[in-house]
Amino acid sequence: MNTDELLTKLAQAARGDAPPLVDVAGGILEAIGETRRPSNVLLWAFTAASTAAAAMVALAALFQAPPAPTDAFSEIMRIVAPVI
Amino acid sequence: MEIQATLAGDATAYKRLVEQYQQEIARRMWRFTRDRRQLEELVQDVFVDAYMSLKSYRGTAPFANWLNRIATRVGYRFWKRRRRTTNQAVALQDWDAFVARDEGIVESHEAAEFLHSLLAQLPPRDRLVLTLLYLEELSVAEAAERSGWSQSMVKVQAHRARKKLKAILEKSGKTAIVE
Repeated sequence: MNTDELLTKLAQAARGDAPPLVDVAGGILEAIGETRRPSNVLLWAFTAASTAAAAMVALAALFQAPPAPTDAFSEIMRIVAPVI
Repeated sequence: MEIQATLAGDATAYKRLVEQYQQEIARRMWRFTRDRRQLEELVQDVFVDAYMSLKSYRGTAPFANWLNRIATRVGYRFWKRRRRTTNQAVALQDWDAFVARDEGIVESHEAAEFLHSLLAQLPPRDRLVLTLLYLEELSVAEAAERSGWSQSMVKVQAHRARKKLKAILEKSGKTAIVE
């Protein structure tokens, strides 16, 4: 007997095998809701985090001390001094 | 009608659809697991997936066919997530007599358990093709349609899967294979 014949014979012998009764209809709508929820949570979490980060950057920029006033000569000297 | 009602937002219509098809889908998913709790989870997964993609059902083929394709995808995904069992073939009593005789001396559930544990030792792809061709008794064309593979891929995969199975059986001492 080859493998094909063996599988055919086993499958024929297994033909009457049936699963137990299942009933998922009662909870299907809840299951669908559960499947949808995680993606919304992730989206809201990402949006909240992005908004918070943007607000922090804006606040930091608002309270940052203004740069000290400089003239052009001082700036040039600051750059070339190490070379000289 | 239930499909149109579901798409129109009638949730109870979908519940009725599930009631109509759940036992048939359970028969499909029984090929993928012999555990009752996992069976219910898989059946539920099929109907959740079906709901999410219901808009893609064109109505050109019977709804059951469309649902069976989703069931196959869910089952295949389940196998890919699980680790393959090895060396756990259930002993088949009266193996030699079973192989030698045509009479049904083996109980159907015993044969199913044995076949399930045997196929569980194959990689998911090999297992799926043999499940579709032998347990589901599909033709090559039907197996291709159910799995989403080409017919040539089904044939090649089936040939490879049978070879691997033969090696497993010979290794476990089931020397009835003479091919």
